[in-house]
Amino acid sequence: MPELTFGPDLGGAPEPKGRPGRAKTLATVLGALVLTPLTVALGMEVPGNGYYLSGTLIVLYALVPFFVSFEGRRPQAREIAVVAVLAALAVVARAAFVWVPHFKPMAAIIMIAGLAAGPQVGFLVGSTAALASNFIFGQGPWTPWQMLAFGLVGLVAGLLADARVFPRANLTWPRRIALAGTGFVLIVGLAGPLLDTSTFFYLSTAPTLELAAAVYLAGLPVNAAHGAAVAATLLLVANPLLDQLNRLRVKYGLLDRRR
Amino acid sequence: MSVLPAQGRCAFASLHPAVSFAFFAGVLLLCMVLAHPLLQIEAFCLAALCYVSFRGRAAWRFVGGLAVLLAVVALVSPLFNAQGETVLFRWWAGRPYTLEALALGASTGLMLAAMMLWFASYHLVMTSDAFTFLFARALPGLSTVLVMVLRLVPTYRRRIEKLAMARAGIGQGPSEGATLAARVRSAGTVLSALSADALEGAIVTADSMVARGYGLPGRTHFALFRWERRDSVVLMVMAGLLTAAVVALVLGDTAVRYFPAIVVPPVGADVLVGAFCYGAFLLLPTAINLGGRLAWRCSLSSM
Repeated sequence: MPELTFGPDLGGAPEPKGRPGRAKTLATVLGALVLTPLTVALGMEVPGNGYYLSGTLIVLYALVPFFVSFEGRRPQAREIAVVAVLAALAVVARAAFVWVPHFKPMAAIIMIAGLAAGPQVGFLVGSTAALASNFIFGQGPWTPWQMLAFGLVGLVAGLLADARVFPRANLTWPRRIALAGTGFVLIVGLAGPLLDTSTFFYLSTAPTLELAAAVYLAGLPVNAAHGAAVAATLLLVANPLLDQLNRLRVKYGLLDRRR
Repeated sequence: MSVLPAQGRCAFASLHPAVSFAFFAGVLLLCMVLAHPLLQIEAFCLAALCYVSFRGRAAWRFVGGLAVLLAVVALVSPLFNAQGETVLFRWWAGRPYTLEALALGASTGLMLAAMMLWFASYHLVMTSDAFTFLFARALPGLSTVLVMVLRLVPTYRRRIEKLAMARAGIGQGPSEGATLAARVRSAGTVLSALSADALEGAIVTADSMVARGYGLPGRTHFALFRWERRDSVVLMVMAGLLTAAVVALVLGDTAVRYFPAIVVPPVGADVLVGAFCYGAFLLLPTAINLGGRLAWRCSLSSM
């Protein structure tokens, strides 16, 4: 009985259903593109901390298209469960490294999710992991920025896998080292500075170059430590975790995007 | 996770999530935009009051910590901003430390501290169930993901502890004086053991969800929240106060200039009215909490 062995039809939304979802996604992307310059102009006009306000609004515009496109695909239960489990693993990974001080491995799990399941799922896992960890450790003005930063890490990893820079499983040693290096660079060059920008924005009622330099320089060692943690985690768990995700692909036909 | 205090103290948290979300969205927006020192001090004090009305004595430590943060931001910011004409003293290589930059730093610090306080109250009121309830209709898939993540994290944490204990039991855990590399390697093993089980569990969970009819049309879901008359009343009061405050403050002159010299426009009647309405708006959760507590006390004594 194929219906039983393969479970219910989970191959993704059928074509006609996908259309309105795609139109909605396009609309949100266009909306973001139109609203962003308006928001920047508004931020200049508004008294008080207009920089943080418009920055955060733009971050939210960047998040919305991904969410709308995920909903537009009508995600099936298995896809939802896999995204949730990956995000939960990313949040909880820190607890495994409790004996190593200041070790933040979340981005490594997010990158692995992106490598195995593509840019869109990578972004979702990253942003939901950031949001969920803020529900546990406390919401703050940094929440949307963290969602975007970690989402982008997953997105870039997914794009790298799509471009066949990295295979989806069974990384050789040189590839694993390259992946760890990529993780370090992504944290120090992308996610870290993005989070520092949020710090800079909420400290900058009147931003000066000196303040920017101070914030980014103070962030550098923190980001380097974060990046090193991510690189170490990638070296250790990338292969086992990618193999496990590959198993899901082979056994259940999940995460199988036709390229 | 949110630790809601004793019965009755947090009446504001029992309002419909849409109302409390609208309140916090409005507060945070105004907090960022209103830069007049009078309004900022007002916002900080009322934010502290609101947080205290939620947490009671436990809140004071956080408020004290934020006062320190405020002082640090204020004192440090002149180091990075040399504008202003009133030089207090000169430091490293003759760089001026100006009164104006100090004042601006104090304003930034006040804004930041007030925002942190409002976020702290937000964290208590907008629990994950309230948040997912609000967004369940617009983003059903994502709110399911969020609910599952928040439920899985504690489970996985306990499982990690068990795995680490089991490994230690067979002599595989990191020893007392283990090197950093050994500890990281051991943690990686625990993590991949957890993920193997978790990913298989994901499929089981998903199939179980489908078997119980997840995603079928016409299903309703249980929620603790219901729109009541008091929600309409609070929302109307909120909207009225907010509109009055915004209109009065836009009409009045609240633009403060810090450089080259501090220019605070004289506080006119319109700004006073605006500040009053703003204050009343910010006081809403505190008032509702205190009212709830009072009602609780009265109900106790009449029994």
